[in-house]
Amino acid sequence: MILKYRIVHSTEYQYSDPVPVCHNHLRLTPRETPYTRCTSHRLLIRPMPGNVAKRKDWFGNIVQSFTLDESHRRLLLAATSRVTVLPQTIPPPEQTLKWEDVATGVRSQTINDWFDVTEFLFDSSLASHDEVFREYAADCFPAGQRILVGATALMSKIFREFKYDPRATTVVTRPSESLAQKHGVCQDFAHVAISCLRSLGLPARYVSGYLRTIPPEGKPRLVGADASHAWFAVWCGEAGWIDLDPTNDKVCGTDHIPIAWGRDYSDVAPIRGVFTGGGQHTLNVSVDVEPVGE
Amino acid sequence: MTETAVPATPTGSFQSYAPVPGVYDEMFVATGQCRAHCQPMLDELSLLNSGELDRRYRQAEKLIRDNGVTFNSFDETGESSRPWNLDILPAMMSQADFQVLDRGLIQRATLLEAILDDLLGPQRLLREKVIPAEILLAHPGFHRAYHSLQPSNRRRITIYAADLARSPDGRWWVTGDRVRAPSGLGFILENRIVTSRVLPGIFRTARPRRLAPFFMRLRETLRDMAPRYRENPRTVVLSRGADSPTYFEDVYLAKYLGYTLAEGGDLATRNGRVMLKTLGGLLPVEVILRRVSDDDCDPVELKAGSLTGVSGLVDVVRNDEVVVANALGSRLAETPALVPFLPAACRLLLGEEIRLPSAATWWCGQPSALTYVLSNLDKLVVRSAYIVNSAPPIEAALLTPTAREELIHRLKTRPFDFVAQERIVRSTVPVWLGSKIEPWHSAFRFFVTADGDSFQTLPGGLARSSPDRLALDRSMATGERAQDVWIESDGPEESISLLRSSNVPLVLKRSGNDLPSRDAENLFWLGRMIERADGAARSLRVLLKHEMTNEDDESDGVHIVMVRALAALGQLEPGLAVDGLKNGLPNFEESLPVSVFNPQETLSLKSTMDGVSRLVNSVRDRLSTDAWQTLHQLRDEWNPSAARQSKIDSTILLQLVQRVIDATAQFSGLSSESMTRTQVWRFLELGRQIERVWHTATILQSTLVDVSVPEPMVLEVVLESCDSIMTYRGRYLSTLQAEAAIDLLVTDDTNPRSLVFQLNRIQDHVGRLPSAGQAVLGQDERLAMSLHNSVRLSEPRDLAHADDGQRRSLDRLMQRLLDQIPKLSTAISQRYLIHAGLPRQFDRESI
Repeated sequence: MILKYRIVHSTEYQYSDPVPVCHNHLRLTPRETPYTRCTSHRLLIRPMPGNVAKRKDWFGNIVQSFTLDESHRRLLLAATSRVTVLPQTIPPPEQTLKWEDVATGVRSQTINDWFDVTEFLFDSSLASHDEVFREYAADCFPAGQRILVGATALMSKIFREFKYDPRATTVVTRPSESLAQKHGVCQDFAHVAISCLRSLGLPARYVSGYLRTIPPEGKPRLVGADASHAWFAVWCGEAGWIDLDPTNDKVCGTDHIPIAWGRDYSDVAPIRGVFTGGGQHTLNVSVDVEPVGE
Repeated sequence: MTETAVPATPTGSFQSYAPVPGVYDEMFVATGQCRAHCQPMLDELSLLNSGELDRRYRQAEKLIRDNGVTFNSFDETGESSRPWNLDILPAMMSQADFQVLDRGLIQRATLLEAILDDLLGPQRLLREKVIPAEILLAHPGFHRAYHSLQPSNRRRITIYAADLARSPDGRWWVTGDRVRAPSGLGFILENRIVTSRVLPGIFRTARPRRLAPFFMRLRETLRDMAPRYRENPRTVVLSRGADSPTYFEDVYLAKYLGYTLAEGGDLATRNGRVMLKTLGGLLPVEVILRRVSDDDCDPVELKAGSLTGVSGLVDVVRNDEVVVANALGSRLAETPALVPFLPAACRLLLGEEIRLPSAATWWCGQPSALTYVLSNLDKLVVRSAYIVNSAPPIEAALLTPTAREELIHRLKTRPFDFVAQERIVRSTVPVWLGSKIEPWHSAFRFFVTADGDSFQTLPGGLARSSPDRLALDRSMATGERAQDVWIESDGPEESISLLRSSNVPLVLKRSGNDLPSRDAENLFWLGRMIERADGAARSLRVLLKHEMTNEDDESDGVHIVMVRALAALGQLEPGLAVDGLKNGLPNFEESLPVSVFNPQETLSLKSTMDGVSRLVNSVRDRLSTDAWQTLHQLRDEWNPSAARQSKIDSTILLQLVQRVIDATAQFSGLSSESMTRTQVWRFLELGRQIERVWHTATILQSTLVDVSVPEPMVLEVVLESCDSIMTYRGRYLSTLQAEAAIDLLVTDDTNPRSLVFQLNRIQDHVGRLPSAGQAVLGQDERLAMSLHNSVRLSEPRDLAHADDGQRRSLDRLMQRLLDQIPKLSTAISQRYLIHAGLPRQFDRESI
């Protein structure tokens, strides 16, 4: 079943003091994959910058950057995207490679495509190797376990054992801390899963994106109540990258719309930049994922 | 290595010099057997007896101190800053030796640049498994923004430095590559100047190769890299600022190469270009010679939170609108973990064998390397696989058993984070030790600069020596002595000055509006601090002299008045000026030196002198060497050890304040005689005049508002405090009257110390600042004009008139000046000086 979406993601900063200058790099354009097509993307910025540059970063994500050098007290960024998502074929988990074969193949640089996935093995600023992650994932990956069976089990384990709590963590909480506390948000769950997989020698990456929310039976869909979302992907050898959502215990399908991927959150932060002045500021984010046809 | 040794009997100080057996000595094959290329130098040296050598050594020390050559040029405590310790004996190197180095270094620079091109481009080396992919992909310094950042035809390495050691068989080994922003060039220049000055005869005989052509080449290379305005592109040296360990060198290079010294805050990106903030507005920059680490160059795309860089710089580089040298990402080439793979990379990329080998290095990320390292741990030094910094390497042999176990555990759990390196038994050089010459081990640093499509080696270098061989394996800052490296020349040397004119005519300029705003601000404050120091010193001198000649009591009128004045100037505990409080406080004789040296009191002479010394270093590239030295020399006196400070009594204090008065007078003379009347001078003058108004108004208000008895004596010390006693005597002889004194100090526009004189000059200066003189006056112009007028229109008779022992008009006028002068200073700041806020990170959006 093909799904079409119209997604509006708006971010508004309000400052108590004027901001004379700011530099921004945005990753707000949904990513093209074999299963997703971004048919249109518009970015509204107020105040209007002179020029918005567009490029692809190292990971292939689309980055839009701009500088504002007129003094402002309010910055509005509104990205409107239309995306078509095709259903993807997930290989039967029992038929994927044994996890040890993936780990050895990448380590020894013998498996096909080893070069492209190698960097997702190593420590990055928010997801690093550690014995504690290895131990946590051990029961999901017994010897000879098929990789996707193991990864799905890990996703379910995190879903079962972790408490969703938006107040418990921040964007820079380390996964070792979330693991110890067993709580956090989608970002923390993804970082924990990635750290576990890397500790086993398996390539794992972080995916930021949107999730279609289905309103409770009989209730209307609330506009703007959605949020940006995040999950992880594990590399399964010839079966490629498979996206798994530990927040919802789901293999990602047509409800998930990817924006960008990288080693962890810091590679794909939707807005990265620097400003001067500003005093106190408040931030308002609203995301609306509207299905517009099938 | 074969080399002819000259059997000669060295005379003088070298007679008993004994090279260490089993170690290569740079000058002697054995006792009494000098290497041929050192013979002419030795012949000259032997003419100097040890007393003479010692005298030259002290002369060098003095030159270095006077020039302020320090490794950590400035820090608040003044403690970790250490002067550069230079040995006057140069390390002489033969043509043949240099040829080996020259070829090897050029090949190595070419190789490292090719490696960078590959790692930040197609990555063949990784795909073809010549270099383990992990070394790049897990490198904490590999910001992905470095990849494909610049056009592929751009040079990446403009300056490369290699650290070398010479083993007992005479072969050279590279112990480290430096590609970030290698330091040492400034020290090499300074060493050359000092050694050639203290050993002129030897310098003429030995004729070492000149250094200037290398710097000319460096300058041409940077010029040719400019994206536009290739005739004379605006180039800045991007420094980490006055508290960076290499600040001395940043200033030195900027001055020597003729570039503007800038810090991150002086630059901004606007409309896709990098701009320098100057008084006249924003001026585009074409080339940045950076002295800032790659990762710190742009807080937007590189290390978040870094304050030394320029926000948005990476984007400008990406569009090729500015050139950064060395290119961003170059630091990856100095990664220690790459070292074991350089020979193979050299074969693949250059199709040749590597000429200059590295000291044997193992990257523990490879299982076989780890096994070797673990079983030979005591023979090796262990260091970070990725990061080159000043942290000393780990010497397993010296660790306690527990620490050793800990190290082994870390090597086993995170092997990829470590490299281990073999130690080279380093060669020795003769070092002068006051009465004898001894062999010390030496580490060498050589430099290479880009030259067209290839590179050029600096025919000279930096040697650091130490009796402790291990100390040299650490950073550039270690080693007890530095030596200049002389390369034997192969022909007559062409004499070149960097000031040689180019063929392109320069546009003649007079304005100096391109003064960076930060420099203007520092000059303004330097002016204020110098004047503050001078004013405080003069007033202190008056009081100290008075105390010495009138030892009896603390209740005479002059004493009371001067204590009040000094308290108002911030030199004395205010309680001392209040009768009732005075008794509880320690006696005046003891408390005066303490409060003058109180670093917590912002106005104390000690704080002021600290300010002078900080500011004079920050604007060092704007001052003449003489002017700079005048003030720099005072620094040590005002940073005494605790023991010395406790010995400071009135007599010593009087000497110290006298030195301040002499130095500021000398500085004034130098600045009025030799500084062009540009904005540099104007801001310095403005600072001084504003401060002088504050000083004079403070003195007059605290001494003359209350009519004291006997007034003539008070008038005398007030006139002396304000440096006008000679003028007064010249006019009125010894008749001291309030009205005449007040006229001289307030309303007399011919007295360069009077208030009206300062205000007149201030008004003139603010009217000549860039963007002044518009139809609507700026706040600074209006304030200056109004203060000038109110003083000019005052009547001396009215000011001197007292009612009930109080001069109310004088008080009102002085109070007005004291209220308005800070406002004027702020108005100038707001209009012309920088007040850019610190960069803040966008709060990472919560999900």
